[in-house]
Parts: sequence; structure tokens; C-alpha cells
Amino acid sequence: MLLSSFNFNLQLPANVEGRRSANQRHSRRAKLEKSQAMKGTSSSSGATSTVDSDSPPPSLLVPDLPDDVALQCIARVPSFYHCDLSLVCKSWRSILRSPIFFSTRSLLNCTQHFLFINVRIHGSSFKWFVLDHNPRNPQNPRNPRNLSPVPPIPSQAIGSAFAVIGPKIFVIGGSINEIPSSNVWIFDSRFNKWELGPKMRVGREFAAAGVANGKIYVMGGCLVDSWARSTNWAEVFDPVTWSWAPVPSPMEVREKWMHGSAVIDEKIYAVADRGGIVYDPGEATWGYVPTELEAGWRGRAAVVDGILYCYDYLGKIRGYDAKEGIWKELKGVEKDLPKLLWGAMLANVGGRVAVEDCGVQLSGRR
Amino acid sequence: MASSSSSLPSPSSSSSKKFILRSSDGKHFEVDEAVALQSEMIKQMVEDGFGGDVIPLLNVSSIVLSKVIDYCKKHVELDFKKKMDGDNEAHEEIKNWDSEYINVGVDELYHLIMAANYLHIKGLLDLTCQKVADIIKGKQPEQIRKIFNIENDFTPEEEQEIRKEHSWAFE
Repeated sequence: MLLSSFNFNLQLPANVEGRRSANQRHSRRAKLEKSQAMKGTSSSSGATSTVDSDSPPPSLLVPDLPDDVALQCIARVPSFYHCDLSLVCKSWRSILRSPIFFSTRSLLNCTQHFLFINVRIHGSSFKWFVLDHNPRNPQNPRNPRNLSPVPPIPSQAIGSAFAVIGPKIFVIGGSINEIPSSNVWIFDSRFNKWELGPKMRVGREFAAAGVANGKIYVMGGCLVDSWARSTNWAEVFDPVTWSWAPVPSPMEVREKWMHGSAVIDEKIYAVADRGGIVYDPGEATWGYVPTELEAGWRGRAAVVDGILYCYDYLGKIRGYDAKEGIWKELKGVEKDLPKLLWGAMLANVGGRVAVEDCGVQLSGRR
Repeated sequence: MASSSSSLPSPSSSSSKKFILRSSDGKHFEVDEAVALQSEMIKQMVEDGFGGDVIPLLNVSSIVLSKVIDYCKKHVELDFKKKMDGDNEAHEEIKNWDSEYINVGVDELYHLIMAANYLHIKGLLDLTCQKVADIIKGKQPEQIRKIFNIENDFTPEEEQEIRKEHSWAFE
């Protein structure tokens, strides 16, 4: 099938320090799942003795091993195999869906980075994929990657903005039937599930979004024709309070549509139709994107180690060093990097730049 | 395999403090202080003033304890070497030695895990848990159950249901 020219990609640092409210939700879910294994996971071998006589004995994850130790073993298995693990027995299934499993992976530094790709097919339906490491890929054992489908988003608007916090992808706003929406869909990559997040204060399409200091900042993508839309032109989402709050902005920065955004050094950079703006949440100050940066910024950029990388449509990747204020060409990739006439999307995947072709053709099957 | 042919000066020479560890079956093992202190549990006991003549280790048999001491000795030696020679070479040597050391059957692996957990030897616990993960990795659920003696408590319907849930992954 042919992919339209509208696609993009996201970085997912699948590290897991869950936010409070999210954790509460998951622990509730885990409890519902009759998670007997959980009883034994917080303390070591003594756990079994604390169970009262009328409740059934907790099923151990692995016979003869304390659950906390068994958990440390299971948590080290790469996520590609987790589907198989959930079929072993009930206690394995419930531990795999528990927050403690992910916090253990995080503590053990076993979390993995995945590239999630959202593709719009023939102008209407959206599909999500994850670029997975598939060690069983028989076609190419040397480069065992494949695109696996991800459950579809319940309703995806056009022109949504994206942000990633820990294991969660936030799909923010976008228009549905040409009306800018204030909906926020959240994909939790640990459980492969979508849920509706708290609504923004205003509807937006083609807004800019970025994560700085652990909060999501969204700006633009809405008309400033009313008091509400003016004061809420920029908003911030705090994952601890699980709510949106307005960010005061001066009138002169309020561009409507944003072409691109990136976060460099905890500052949000957004490029609009004309000019671009920079917001520094730490200082709560607004400024303009340097002309040099704006002139070279193409498509979806990725920031790695403070350098903003773009694909320049001519087979070159260039990086902008915000401290020096200059663009430099990325050397050493000429041989392997194809010329992508439709441009390319870049993403930071665990500290590496991933390049996606905008005009790629895929055959029908994954 | 673990014979220390190294001519390096030992980090703790023969004059250094010795500890005697007693296994659950009553055997005594004399080890250098640095070797014994690889165990956080022993370290804590010593700090709390229990490091007298003999340290009793009620949960570790002599067979397992001697294997654990092999690990601790080698790591004291290699840590010292790492400090002297710089990182890379020693790092490679540790990796090779560890992978040879942990090449054991599931039963022995269990005993080592339990000992590492009881004695609180982080490096050994990491190594043994990683080995279990490597065994699990890539196996079918049936194989995993068999190796680890786990009972399948799903009904066929439940199993079907889970496969359906993960259908995008099992396709």
C-alpha cells in the first residue's frame, strides 16, 4: 500500500518511572487481575508466611525461588518475548502487567527504546507501528528489525501534536471533521493500550508540543479570537497533577500553525508560518528562534545531546549547535544514507538519530 | 579454570585480615577480608560487631559456598587489576570469566541465586538472574514451564483469550 506524505515518528524512552496518577490506575488494574504474585514481590523470602490462613497460598512465579528474585530474572527478558511469557501461567501474566515489573526493569536498566511510527494511509486511516527488534526474523537475521502493528488509536484527528513522557505517548489535539479538538489520547507502551487523557483547555490543530522538565508544553494551533483562547494559547500538562494549566504568553508570539517543534536544553523551540518562537519554562521567558536555525530547519527534527538534526532533502543530515549558533554537516553517513526525495523525519531513539523516509512504499504485509 | 596464575601483587596480602566462614554443613573456609566483604551481608555483620572468629552461614552449603568464594576471589582479583591496568582489558576478562563460570545447570544456578541473594552479592545476583533470563529468552511457554517446573493454571479458553489479546504480536 502507498503511504501518504503525512507521517512522523516519535522517540519512546521506555524507561518507566511512572507518574503518580498513572501508577494508581495501573495498580488498580493489577489488583483487579487477582495479582497473587504481587504479595510476594515487595519483600524477600519471608513473604509467603504473612498470608492469612483463609486465603489461598500465593502462587510463586518460579517454584523454589523467592518471588522478588524470580521477578529480577523475568524483568531482564527483552520485551519482544513478553507475549510468550504471559502465557506461562497466571502469576507470570499478572506480574507482566504490574507496575512493579516495569519499575524493576527500570531499576535494572533493562528498559529499551522503541521507535513508534504513525502512518496515514491514503488520506484517511491512521496506523501505528513499532520498530521492534525481532530476533526471529528469518529474512534478515543480521538486522533483526521489523515493523509490528500497534493497536489502533480509538480516534485520531488530523494535525495532532505529539509528546513522550517515560513509557507514554501523548497524541494531542488535531482536528476532527475540521474542528480543532482538545482531546488527548495516551498510548501506554508497557500495556499496549490507549486511554483518553485530560482534555486541554482549548482545541488545537497543528500545534507545537515538547517536554521540558518532565512537563508537556503545548502552544499554538488555535485562533486567538476569544479571551479563553488568548490566555490558553500555550498550556502545560503536569503528569503529577494530571492536569493542564495555562502558560502566559505575550500577544506578539501567538502564531497559529506550527510546522515543527523541538526541545533543546529544556527550552521549547517552535517554528511557525513566519518566524519561530522559543519558550524557556525555567525562566518563564519567550523569545524568537534564531534566523540561522529557522533558515535551515526542515521537517521533523530530532535533538540528540543538544544538537538539532534535520534532513536537508539533498541526502545530507545537518546539525544545529544552539550554543555556537551554526549548522554543521553530519559527516560519515554519505554512503549509507539514501536520497529521500520526499524528505525525512528524524527521531531521537535512545540517543541515536533514526531517519524515516516520508515517501516510502510498503508492500501490503508487515 | 579459576586458577589464579596472576603474578600481580594480591590486593590483600597474606598478612591481611582473614575471616572464617562456616557453611550450613559445618565446613570452614578461610578467606581474605576483601573476598568476604564482597558479601554485603557479611560486611553488615562485621560492621555490627558480629565478625568474630567464625561467621556462620546457615543457608549456604559447602559445595555452593566454595563456588561462591571462587566468584568473590576472582572479582577481587579482577577489580584490582582493573584499577591497575585500566578498564578495557580487565572488563573483557571479567566478561569471559563470568560467562564460563555461569555455564551451569538449572539446579546449580538456583543454588547460586539463593546464595547470592542471601549473602547479598550484587554482582553474582545480577549474573545469575541474567542467566535465568537468557534461558527464558526465546523459549515457548511450554518449554519455560518444563525447565522451571511451573504448573500451567490456564484453561484452554483462557489461553485462547490471551493469544487473542496479543494477536497483533502473534500474527
